[in-house]
Amino acid sequence: MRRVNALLAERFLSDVGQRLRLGSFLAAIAIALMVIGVFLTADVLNNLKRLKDTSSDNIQWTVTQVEVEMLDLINAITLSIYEPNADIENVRIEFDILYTRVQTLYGSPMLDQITSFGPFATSLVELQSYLDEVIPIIDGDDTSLRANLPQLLELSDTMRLDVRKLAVVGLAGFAQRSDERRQEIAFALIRLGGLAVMLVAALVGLVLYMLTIYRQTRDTGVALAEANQRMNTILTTSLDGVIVTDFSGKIVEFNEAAQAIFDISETAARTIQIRDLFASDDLNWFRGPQLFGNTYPKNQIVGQGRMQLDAFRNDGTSFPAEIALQNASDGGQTLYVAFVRDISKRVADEQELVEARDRALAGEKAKAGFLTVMSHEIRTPLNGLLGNLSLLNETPLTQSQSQYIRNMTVSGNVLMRHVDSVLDLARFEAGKTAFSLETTDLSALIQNVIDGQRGLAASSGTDISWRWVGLPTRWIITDASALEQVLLNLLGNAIKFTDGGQVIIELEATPIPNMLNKITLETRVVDTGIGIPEEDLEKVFADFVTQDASFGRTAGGSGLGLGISRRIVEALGGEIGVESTLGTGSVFWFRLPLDISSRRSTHKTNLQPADHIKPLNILVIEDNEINRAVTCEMLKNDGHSVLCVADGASGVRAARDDLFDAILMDISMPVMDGLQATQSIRADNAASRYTPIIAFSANVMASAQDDFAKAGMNGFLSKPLNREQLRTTLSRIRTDSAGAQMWAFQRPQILDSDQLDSTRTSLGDEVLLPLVRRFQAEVSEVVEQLCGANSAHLDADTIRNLAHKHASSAAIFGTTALRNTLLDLENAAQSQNQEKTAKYLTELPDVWQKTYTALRKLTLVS
Amino acid sequence: MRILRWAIIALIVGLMQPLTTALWAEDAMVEPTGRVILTVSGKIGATNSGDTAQFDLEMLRALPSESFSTTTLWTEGVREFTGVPLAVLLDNLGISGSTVDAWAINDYLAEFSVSELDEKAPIIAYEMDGEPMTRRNRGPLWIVYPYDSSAKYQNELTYTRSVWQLDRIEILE
Repeated sequence: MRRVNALLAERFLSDVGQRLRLGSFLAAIAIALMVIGVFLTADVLNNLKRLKDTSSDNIQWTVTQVEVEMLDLINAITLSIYEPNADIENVRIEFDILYTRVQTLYGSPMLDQITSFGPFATSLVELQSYLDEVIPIIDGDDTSLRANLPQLLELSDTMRLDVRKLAVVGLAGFAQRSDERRQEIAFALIRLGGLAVMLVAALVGLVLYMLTIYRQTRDTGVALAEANQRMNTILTTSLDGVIVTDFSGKIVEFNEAAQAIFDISETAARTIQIRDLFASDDLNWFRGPQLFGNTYPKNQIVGQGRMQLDAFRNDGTSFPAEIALQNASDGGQTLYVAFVRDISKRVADEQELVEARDRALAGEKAKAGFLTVMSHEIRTPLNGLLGNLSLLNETPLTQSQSQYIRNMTVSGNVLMRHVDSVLDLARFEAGKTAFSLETTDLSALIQNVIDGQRGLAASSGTDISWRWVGLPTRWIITDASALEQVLLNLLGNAIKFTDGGQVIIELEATPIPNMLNKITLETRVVDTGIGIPEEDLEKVFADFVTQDASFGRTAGGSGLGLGISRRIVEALGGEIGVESTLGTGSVFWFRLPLDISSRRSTHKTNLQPADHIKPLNILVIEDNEINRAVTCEMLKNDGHSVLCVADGASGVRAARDDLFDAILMDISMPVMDGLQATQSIRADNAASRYTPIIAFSANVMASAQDDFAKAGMNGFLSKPLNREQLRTTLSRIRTDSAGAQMWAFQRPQILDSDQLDSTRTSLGDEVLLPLVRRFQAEVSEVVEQLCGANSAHLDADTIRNLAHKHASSAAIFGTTALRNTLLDLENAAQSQNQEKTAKYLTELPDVWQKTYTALRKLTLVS
Repeated sequence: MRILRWAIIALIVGLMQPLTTALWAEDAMVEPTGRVILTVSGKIGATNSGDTAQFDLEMLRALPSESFSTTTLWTEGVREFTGVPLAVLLDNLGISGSTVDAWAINDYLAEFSVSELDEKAPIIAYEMDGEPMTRRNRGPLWIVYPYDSSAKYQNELTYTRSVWQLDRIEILE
């Protein structure tokens, strides 16, 4: 406001200034005229005074009196001559009168003027000399005077003419003088009059200018007042507090909003500093007048936009405020303008939002926790039920009993799937999805899925099939179980909503341009089912959505299948979608970017027939009696030798005393839980120190599995125990070399390309390849030595040394499987375990064959 | 005209005033021993020569005197004049008129209104600078005002009333 006022005022002043210059010019003229007027007036007054002096002196009277008194003297003299009795004193009196008169003439201030007339001056001198001449006669005694009377008369007569001349000339002169003086006065008056006219004109001009200036001043004043009024209105109605300070931070303006915000009256505010209102060191640079120019310390707040500071109300309470501080210039002065907002409500709102978010997050956490608990609480009894059903199924049963058991098993599995779905969802939500990518036979995978669902489809009269569109791409690298889950979900869905129709899975592999060995695999599940209304298409991939609530219920859908599928596909970097025509059918499709595998997997199927199971020595640690019994029964039925203990401490003792091939460890146990027991086994110098320990838990959360791994566990089996899963896991233990510290749950790779690449990088192909060939030759020889026709007589030490020597070489080239086998062999030979030694010696040729092939491929490629 | 007006005003004022007490009103007035230099006639209460009162210098000196220094139009420099105020003289003569005519030896005449006179001015001066004045030098008596003391004495009327070579005073109605 001040700045606007100042600008207005400045403009106003410049206007006024110009007019004032004109005005002062006029005023100067008027003053000059007045000064001249004063002089002229003085002149006139002087003239008038001289006129007055003249009349007062009345010299004309004196001059004429001189003639009269001269005549009187002559008369007195004449009378005294002719009248002897006459008082001669009269002559003296008349003389004295004349004498006095002439002296009066001399003493007159006007004398200089009179004497400037030549004739008058001459006459006056004559008269004076006459008077001086006759004084001795007059002052003589009466006798001599009387005797001298005739002479006196003669002298006096002679003077008469001069006196007459004096009078006449004087009068004429005075007349002329008077004329001149009147003329002078007239001129002076005319000049004065003219001057007065000019003065009046100047004054009139000045008055007119003053009037103009007054009008403009008034107009500008009105404009200024209006601008002021507007600014005041703006300031008053502003919702933001506006604080204006001078350069030292002293408050000079404090609008109504500011008064309301700070609860301080404007009068009170004007007595304080702006920094008194805020709790911030940023305002401390307002330290009052600076001594050295305007070198203010660099401040952190001016011109920095909106900042949040704590401010104080009058009563000392603080509140969060938003302040924007700007500097401005009011003429030569620096001003600071602060816009202030009380943001306590906003801050409170934000706080509330944060709290709401925290609550929501806490809710999510609680949900995840709930799901975890549920998984445990449902899976554990379910484990018991299904396990007992399995056992029951192996007892002699009537046909109807078998049917009931099958029905119960189906129901139990459905329930298990639902629980699994929820747990899958929870796992994805936790963002801890780890895919294990491995070479997979796509055709076999799909065939398996189709086979698994064929019965279900047949029950609703639906025919299912699959086919390649375009060239088949059979071997790919992916997470087989994830892919399987997606396919199962989509296929199950299609079957569910197709009654007596057809479901076809189409696979189409499209090479990705410029990417070797990469394809996009599009999988389409096409059905001739009821279709989906267009408006529902968006929602089908959302959680807990079934197409039709009533139908979904009869079809037994959890509503999570498609949501989980979507998450899996997206997590694998792909996309998923659906196209549908109501009444005609739907196409669910997903596309995944995949690597083509350059080699076939030796690992054909996870399913191991029971009759192929090799017996293992297994320790089971499980506190739940039923679960323990079920598990032990299952293992025993498969031909394993099993030691079952009920708590962690017993398990640790057992592991210390005996060497086991595998340990199944429950996690939640009283006294010592699974994690502690594992750590204890791993830390002790126990016999089973390097034995694979498999976690055995209802908690399938990814985070939990991380914890298991950290504790030193090597694998995981979820409860309820599934016989097939159990067999698969144990078969891996059997297949893969057990007992090594390096034991990994994953099947060891034939060729660890990372390790090989690292060696290749450090050595270079020129060095590496000859080494590889040499390695191939050496190991072939050793394998021949160990497993060949002449191997039967080798002693344990020789076997150990050979295995040891080449295990380290194998590590260099990344031939992990070979290395593991050699290490196993070395350990077995060292411990004089002939059984194990024989076993590893049997495995060695096969491992070497695969390794050799992989290495050969490498050298050929190079 | 002016004189007439002054005369009327003086007459009115004079009539309104009580008669002043005269120095010689009841007693016989002393007679001049030296040369008579002033003769007062007209409506006077005290006389010493017929209907008139005659004064020599000594008699005038015997009356209360007044002195002042002033310049005049007719003399050079500041002069000190000493004399008897006209009003004092008239008081002592117990005059009953209100108009005073002062005459000079050349029969010059000036008229005063009694009401205009005060205790200080004019005076009938008989000394200038402590010396008696000769007739040739405007003596022996000269009615003077303290012209320098006040602007009211610096006007033509005052100047015309400054009668030198005064020898007669007549008290009129």
